[in-house]
Amino acid sequence: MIELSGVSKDYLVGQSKVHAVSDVSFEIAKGEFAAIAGPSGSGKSTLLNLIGGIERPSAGRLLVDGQSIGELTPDQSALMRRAKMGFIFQTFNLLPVFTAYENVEYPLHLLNVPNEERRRRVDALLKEVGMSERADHKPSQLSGGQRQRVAIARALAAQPSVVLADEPTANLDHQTADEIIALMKKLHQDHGVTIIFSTHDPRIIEQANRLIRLDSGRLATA
Amino acid sequence: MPVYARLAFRNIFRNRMRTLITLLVVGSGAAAMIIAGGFIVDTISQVREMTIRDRLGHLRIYKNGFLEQGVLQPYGYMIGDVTGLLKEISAQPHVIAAGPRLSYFGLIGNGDLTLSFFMQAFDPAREDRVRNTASLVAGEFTQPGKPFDVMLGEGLAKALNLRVGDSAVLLGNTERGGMNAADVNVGGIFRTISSEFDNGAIRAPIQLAQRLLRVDGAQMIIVFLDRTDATDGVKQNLLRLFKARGLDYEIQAWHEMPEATVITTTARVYESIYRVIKIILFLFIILSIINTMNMAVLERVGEIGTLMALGTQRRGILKMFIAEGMAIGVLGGVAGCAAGCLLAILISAVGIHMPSPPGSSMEWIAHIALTPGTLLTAFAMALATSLMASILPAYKASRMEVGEALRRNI
Repeated sequence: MIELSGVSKDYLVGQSKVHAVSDVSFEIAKGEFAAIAGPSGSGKSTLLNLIGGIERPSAGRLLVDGQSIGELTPDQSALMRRAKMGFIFQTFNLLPVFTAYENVEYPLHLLNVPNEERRRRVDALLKEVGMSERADHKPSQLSGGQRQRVAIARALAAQPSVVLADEPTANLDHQTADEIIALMKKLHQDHGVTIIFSTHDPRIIEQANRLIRLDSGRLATA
Repeated sequence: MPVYARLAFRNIFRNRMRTLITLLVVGSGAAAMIIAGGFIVDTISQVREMTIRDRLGHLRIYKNGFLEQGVLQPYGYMIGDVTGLLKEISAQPHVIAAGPRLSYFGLIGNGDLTLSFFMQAFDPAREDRVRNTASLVAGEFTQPGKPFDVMLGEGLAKALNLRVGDSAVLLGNTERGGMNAADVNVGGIFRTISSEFDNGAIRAPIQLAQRLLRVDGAQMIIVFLDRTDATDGVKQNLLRLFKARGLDYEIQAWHEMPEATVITTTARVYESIYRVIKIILFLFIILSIINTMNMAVLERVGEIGTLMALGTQRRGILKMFIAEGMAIGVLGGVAGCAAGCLLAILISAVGIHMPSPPGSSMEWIAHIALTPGTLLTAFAMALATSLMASILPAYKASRMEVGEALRRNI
């Protein structure tokens, strides 16, 4: 389903080139609950961004459902993300002017899902993540854990085949982090969606059924 | 409401103080436009109406050929008995007065000094409805029962040192070339918008002029309307009427008269000023709000990244920020138009006392005319400036790299 072959990503910082990801190759099958682990600055976020089509690889080949991500234009890439991917961010990234309900609904607007279907899906997802009671709350009126629950519901709204979560528990306390990971795991099982998340928290890593370790942008040998 | 529009509308009220200041700038610009435009429309309108009422009339009807040959043969194209014709003309829609006119150049003396004059001879009874009370400086208007009472232009009266009640002698060339004179009384002194006219004009009953010049009838029939914009329509109706009656007359509308250049020149000057004001206001609004629009983009870079990560295409981001600009334009335009209308009503209620313009000794009270044109211009400007100010920031937002924008999320 996801296939990386010799993928590298370099950035220019001033005059010098920084190798964020170097020659990474692996495959992730449909339905996996995979963790990308590594210390800060090891290239976890960059790797997730590459898989999500947010950044283009400097070298190598990256296929999602057989489609080469590196060859897409920015707009084609947006269409691909809209249809196939869900995103969960470390800083939640909810739209502050929208309510919890409207945040979850937004990806469905992009897909032109009809009104009735939209309402049905958003209601069901908010119920699944335990946020039905706070559907009308703005993000500023929610706690960190609640915001992340809304973000998870948003990531699943478009029924994507892959959800990419960049350190989804980094800004949460231990108890809330456990709850969020448990929720992600449950949704992974219920929806059969592939979830790839990055983390450097050993307790969270234990929950993954597939582990990809990164060190200085390279796959670490176990 | 489409999702981009909803997002844009909510974002407007996110930073209320900043939005309020932006709306104030846009609204003030629109209101200023209404005031400036309304003042200019009123000024042009007043100059036009005063000139038409005091000098031109809306329409002048001549015997065919007068306009070409009248200067050489001023009495060669006289209209004889006008009573029947005037009745038919007066029955036309929009006509409020119609009367015979006779014009000629002659000499006026006070015993010591003799000066040339231009006479407007008319039937006071028929033009009673259209006399301009503001033009009376002293005495009274020419009366039907006082055939030897004349009105002098202010400048002419001053030059001859004549006051109301004084006597003077008028000299004129008769139709056959001889000289004739008439003793007259100064019944009144008038002032029009044109000092040049007032320096040499006399208004007198047409019977006096006919007696002095030894002619019958009139050189033209002057027609006054209730609405200046009806001029061309009435002209066509009259031409049809004359054709049906087999009358060989020609008609000159006010804007076709050589003396109307004072109106067109004034209009041109004021319209140029209005154009400059529009450009200044346009630039002022754009430069004032472009920074606000830029700030709105800069402080939402992270959000733009999120929207793009969720699958929003570049044109979606562009639409969102342009919708924000448009919403500010609509809100600012509506508020500015409302404030402009209110101000216009208040200013008009008080009136702006204006000094006499160059070439005139007539002071006047200006108002702010509220016309659909000025309102539409003000609203369109508010909308256009807000839209234009949002285009560049919106474009910049839409061209952001998703990863870079997400990294700047806080």
